[in-house]
Amino acid sequence: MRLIVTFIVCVLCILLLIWTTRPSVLPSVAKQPVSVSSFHRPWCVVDTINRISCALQYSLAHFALQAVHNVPEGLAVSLSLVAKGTSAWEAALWSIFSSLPQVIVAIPAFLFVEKVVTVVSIGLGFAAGAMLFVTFNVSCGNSRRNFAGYLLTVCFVCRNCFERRLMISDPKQSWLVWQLPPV
Amino acid sequence: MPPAKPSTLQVVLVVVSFLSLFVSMIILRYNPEKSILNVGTYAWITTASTGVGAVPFFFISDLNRKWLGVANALAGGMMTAASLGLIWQALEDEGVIGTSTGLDTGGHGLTKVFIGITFGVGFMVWSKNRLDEHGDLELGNLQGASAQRALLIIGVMTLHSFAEGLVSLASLSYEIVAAQ
Repeated sequence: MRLIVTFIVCVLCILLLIWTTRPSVLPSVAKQPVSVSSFHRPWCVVDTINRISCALQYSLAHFALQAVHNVPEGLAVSLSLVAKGTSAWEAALWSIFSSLPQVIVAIPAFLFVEKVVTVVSIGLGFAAGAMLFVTFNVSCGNSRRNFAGYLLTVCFVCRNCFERRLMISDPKQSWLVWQLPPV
Repeated sequence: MPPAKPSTLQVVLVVVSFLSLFVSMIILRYNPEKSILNVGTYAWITTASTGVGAVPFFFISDLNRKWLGVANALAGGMMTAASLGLIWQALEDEGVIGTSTGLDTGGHGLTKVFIGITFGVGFMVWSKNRLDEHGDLELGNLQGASAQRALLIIGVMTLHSFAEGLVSLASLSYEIVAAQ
């Protein structure tokens, strides 16, 4: 029963992905082929992965860029709960709860854009400081023995964060959520 | 230890939010012009997709010690990298590093980011001291130290999604205002 449900959900997700990445939706940048000249370079693997994920992100950017970003956060939250014996359903609820501020903040952010832009960096710094404290105080205490895995994850996510900056050279294409448009 | 049994309400809530994810994606697809309703729908999609992160645990019934360590390292690395990314993005928005984004943020970029980081760490130290004073915490079926740790992680994720929601939705609505 569980397997059947999983299968159906996977098929639905794949169909949705195909539907959203159909060629008429893709902007021109994402349709560019991987540059053949870089195939002999050592970073060609990274380049190819970047291209693919960039195409995916461009196609999803209309509505789901932040959403894609949020999934590993939900993983982190529900991991800390499930490891201590909470059921997965409750963990899912808690991780949804941890993102509820995004709905609360949506309307004020829409109404007072000019005001909000001046405080955004304070909020970002606040969140970053709090997260660093929790990582070094709580998470690292348990994962000291997996330092290699820790470093690998840092590298992977950093690559993921900066790939957008590597890929977007045309400022007119900066309608991604991550990079604000020049006015 | 065996996982606790979920109540019917929890199951219904999770299923409804996952279904709403599909529904709101389809709504956005057929309603592409950007309005205040669309901003709300965007926000709901980002919120509900956080629950997708719990999906692997529907299929993993027991976590042994080794995989727990690996998963902890994964979560810690993700959080470190994400916070570095947040600082980077704040500096970039303020025009301190990288190319100018053309936003008028009012100057004092470095100072603002520094104030934010100081307040963030200070707030976490303060709240951890408060939590240490109350040793007998309960969160669902968790008690004591594990409840404290879970509460800290949930709290920090909630805080960070405030800032993240602000920045992503502000940039989204900035686009909308600029387009009009």
